[in-house]
Amino acid sequence: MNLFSAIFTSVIIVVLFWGLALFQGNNAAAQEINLSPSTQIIARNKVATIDNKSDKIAPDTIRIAGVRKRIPLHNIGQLWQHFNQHSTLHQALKKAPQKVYVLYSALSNNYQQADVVIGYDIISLSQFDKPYTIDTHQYTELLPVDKYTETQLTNAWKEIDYSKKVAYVLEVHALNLSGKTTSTQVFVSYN
Amino acid sequence: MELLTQLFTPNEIWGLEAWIDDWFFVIAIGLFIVECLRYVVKKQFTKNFFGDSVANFVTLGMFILIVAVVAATYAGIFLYTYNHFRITDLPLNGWSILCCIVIADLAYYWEHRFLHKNGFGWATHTVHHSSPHFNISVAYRHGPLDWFFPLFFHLPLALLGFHPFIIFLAEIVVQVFQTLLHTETIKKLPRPIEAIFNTPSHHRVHHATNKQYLDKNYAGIFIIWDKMFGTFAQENEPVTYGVYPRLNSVNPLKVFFSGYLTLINRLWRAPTWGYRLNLLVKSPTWAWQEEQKQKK
Ligand SMILES: [Zn+2]
Repeated sequence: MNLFSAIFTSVIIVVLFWGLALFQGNNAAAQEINLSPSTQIIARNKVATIDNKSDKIAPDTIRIAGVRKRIPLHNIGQLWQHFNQHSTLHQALKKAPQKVYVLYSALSNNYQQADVVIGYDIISLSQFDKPYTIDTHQYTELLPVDKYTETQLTNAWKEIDYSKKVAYVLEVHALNLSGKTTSTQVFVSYN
Repeated sequence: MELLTQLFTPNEIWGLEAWIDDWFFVIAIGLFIVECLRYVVKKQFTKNFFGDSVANFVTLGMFILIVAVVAATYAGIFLYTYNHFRITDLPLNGWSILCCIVIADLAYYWEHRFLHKNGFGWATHTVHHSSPHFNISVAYRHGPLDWFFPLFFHLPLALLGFHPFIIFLAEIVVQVFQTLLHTETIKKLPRPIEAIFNTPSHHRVHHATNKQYLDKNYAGIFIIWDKMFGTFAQENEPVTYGVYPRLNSVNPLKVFFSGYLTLINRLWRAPTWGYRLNLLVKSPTWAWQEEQKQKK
C-alpha cells in the first residue's frame, strides 16, 4: 500500500473506532435515564403531600455560570461529566458550593432537546464567563426538596403542563461539603 | 458489559495508569532476571551484555529525569486542547478506553514509522535500537526526545473528545505491551496470535540489521497495521541486532546522546545545504548508503 492510501485507510479506521466510542457514549447516557413506572408513583405521591412554600428559591432572579450546551436531553450525563471536569470553574469557587443548578431552556418542540446550563450561583464564584439569568418570579414546583433517583427526576418532567409553553425547567441540587447531592428540587416556569 | 459502561473519574484513570506503569516495571525486572539466568546457563552472559544492560537502565534514569521536567507541560497541552477544542464528549468508561487504545496503537504505528523515516526523529529513536542485544532491559532504553514525538501523534485524540488521562492510559498500555516483546526467550507464539498481535518474533525483526528486515514491523500492539500498510516482514532467518553505523559502546552517556552526535557530525560534514536538509527529512538508511558510496 502506498503512503497516501495507508494514511487514508488509517483515517477511516480512526473514524470507525471514534464512531464506536461516540455510539456507546450516547447509549450509556440514554441508559442512565431509563423510565420506570414504579418509581414514578412514588415521585408523584411526594409532590402531593409536601408543602412547597417553605423552599422557595429567592430572590427573584438567580444568575448562574458554568457549562452550557444545546444537547439531546438523554445526553445530560455527558454534560455533567463536562461540568465535573471544568477545572477553571471549580477553581473559581470561593468556598465549597452549596447548590448546583441545572437549567433547561429553549426546549425543542418534541421536548427532546434543550439549551442546558449546569452551573453555580455567581455569588459563590470569584470569576466567571457569561452568566445566565433565571427569572424566578413565576414558577411551579415539580418536585419538592428530597432525595431522588435519576428516574424520579426524569419522571418529574411528566408533571409539566405541556399545554402551556415552557420557559425553563430548573433543577436545584443541594450539595454537602464533599460536593455530593443531598437533595434536589425541580421547578418549571411557563411563558 | 457493566464493567465497560461504568463511569470513572479522571483521578481513577490517572491512578490506573500509574498503577500499571509501576507494577509493570516490577514484572519486567523479574522477567529480566529470568532472561539473565537463561543467558548464564547458555554461557552467553558476557561482560558486554552486562555493560549494555547497565547502560539501558542508566539511560532510563536520564529519560525519567527529562520526563519529570516536561511532564506537567506535556499534560497541560493535552488538557488545554481537550478543554478548549474538543469536538465531542466521550464518557470516561471502559468502552472509550478500549476504542482509545486501538486508535492510540494506530497513532503509535505512524509515530514509530515517522521516527524511522527522518534524521531528526531517528536521532532520538536510534538509542532504543543501538543495542546489539535483545532483552527486556532494551525495552527501557530510551532516547532524550522519546517523549516529544508522541505529542503530535496523540494530541488529535484529545480533539476527538478522549479525555487526556484516557489517552495517557492508552499510551502506557501500548508501551507496556511492547516491553514484553523485547526477548529472545520466546520463539514463536500460536499462529492466531502471531497473525493479529505484535510478538517477540515480529519485534526481533524490527530491531534487526538484516537487509530485508530494515524498517519493518513498526506495530505497537496490533501487527495488523504493518500487514495492511506493507511494512511487515516475517522472521525467517536469525537476526542481528543494532544500527548502522554500529555504536560499539556501553557508555551510558554515549548511548544516550549517540543519535544527536551522529546527526550533528553528519550535518557538519555535509557537502551541501541540500544534503543537510536531506539528512533531516530523509531516512537514516539514505544517509548510511550515501556514506558507503563516498567511501568507495
Ligand atoms: Zn523502532
